[in-house]
Amino acid sequence: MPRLRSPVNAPRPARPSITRLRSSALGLVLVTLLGLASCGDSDDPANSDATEGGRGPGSGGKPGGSGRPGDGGEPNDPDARFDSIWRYARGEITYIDTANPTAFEPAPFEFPDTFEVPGQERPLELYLQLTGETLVTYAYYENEAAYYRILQHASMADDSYFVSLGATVQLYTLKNGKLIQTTQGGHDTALILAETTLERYDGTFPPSHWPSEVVTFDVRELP
Amino acid sequence: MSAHEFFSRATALALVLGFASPLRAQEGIPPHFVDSDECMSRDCTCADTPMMEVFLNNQRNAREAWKSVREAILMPGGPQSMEEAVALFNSRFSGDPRVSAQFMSCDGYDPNVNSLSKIAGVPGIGQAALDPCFCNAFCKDIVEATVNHELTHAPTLLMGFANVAHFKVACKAGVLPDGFCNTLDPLILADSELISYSVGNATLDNAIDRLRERDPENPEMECTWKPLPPAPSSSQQAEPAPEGFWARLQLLAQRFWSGATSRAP
Repeated sequence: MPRLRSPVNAPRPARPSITRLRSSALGLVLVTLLGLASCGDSDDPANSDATEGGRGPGSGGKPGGSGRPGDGGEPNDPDARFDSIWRYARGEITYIDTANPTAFEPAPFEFPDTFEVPGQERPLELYLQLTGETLVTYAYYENEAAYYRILQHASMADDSYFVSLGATVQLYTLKNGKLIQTTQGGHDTALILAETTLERYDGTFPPSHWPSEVVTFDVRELP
Repeated sequence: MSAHEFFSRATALALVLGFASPLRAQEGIPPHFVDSDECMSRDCTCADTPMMEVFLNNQRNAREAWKSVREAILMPGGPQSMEEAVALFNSRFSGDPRVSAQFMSCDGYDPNVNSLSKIAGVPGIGQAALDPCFCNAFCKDIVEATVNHELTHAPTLLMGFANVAHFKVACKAGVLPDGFCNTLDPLILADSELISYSVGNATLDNAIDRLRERDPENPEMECTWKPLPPAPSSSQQAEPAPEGFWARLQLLAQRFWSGATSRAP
């Protein structure tokens, strides 16, 4: 089977350009790197994201968010930075029906270690990282020969990151050594607010049971 | 049909019908498929550009159909699962018969083996498998556009899932209403389809532009071409001849007097 390759460190155009598609077999994307995923500390941006490391708020360039004293009595994590590797821990949903706006209670829930994806019997592991102006999603299906590294644009604003997803926006902030993701959705007359807490993954990344081969998909280069 | 069965069956891409394989499922790849590097398509030349245009237009129409499906998901009574989204898409899009005819012109076409509803699949990350009939019938740029479309599905489905992972888990925990939860999967699929079509179509569009600028067989020249004649609509297709000698003779006489478009009741 062919592996479609293109340089992962290629400079990104200011705007998406379909002309970039001409030169590669799978124009936009896809990059297979053997051995990129060597073992390394998760806090080292050079290991976790070679393309953008060292330019984001979490890299020390901006003070906001990283390592602030906690205000909720939770232990702080001095090593927590945006460009740490993060995994989902718990969340809270607030469902506000505008037809009955007084009757809502935040509903907490816990994330599993792995996810069930529709149509896939194999569990999926997900990790996030914010580095430079990039949201990196690491995704691995059990027993797959490679894992995905999906790159999306993330905007920096002082001590926060914003990721635009069409009609909605995800906001990321650091709080008490945790990464807090806030987003919203809508359903009929209801507004849905979701606050998700991600915990820093402090093991070797990628995990030892992941393959060394990684396929990078850069959403920013889509036509 | 379970979700797993659905995706297993769906792995092979029905590109022309617009049904793209959403997820990886090795068991869904027909045994006669070949790896994309064994797909022996010829290079596209000026002579292929009319079909490339038809193929591209077909894919653009498919994308528009998915766009309408996505809008329907958010409407009352819209699709509540990926299967329902695909069914709605199939009801809103029919492939161009000129593409079908080209496919059936491949060497060794066997209607029991080769189906335009299954021409490509994704056996693993970054891999594509294709029906050799498709490889044979269409030139390389069309095949490459198809492969690019296919390879875009897996990461965009993953990305779509990751972007709503919090909602998915909350739904499973029972803290969100079914009416909301049931829209998530079809939206993930529709978004993946829209992006995949954009990628495949951009590939083919670029290829046509290259041919427009330069004839690969005569680099000093540009390709020029006439579009393929439009596919006959069903209303333009000839009705079957009536049975019986006298009925046919009567029809012939009718046409003699009234012209070929007239038809005896």
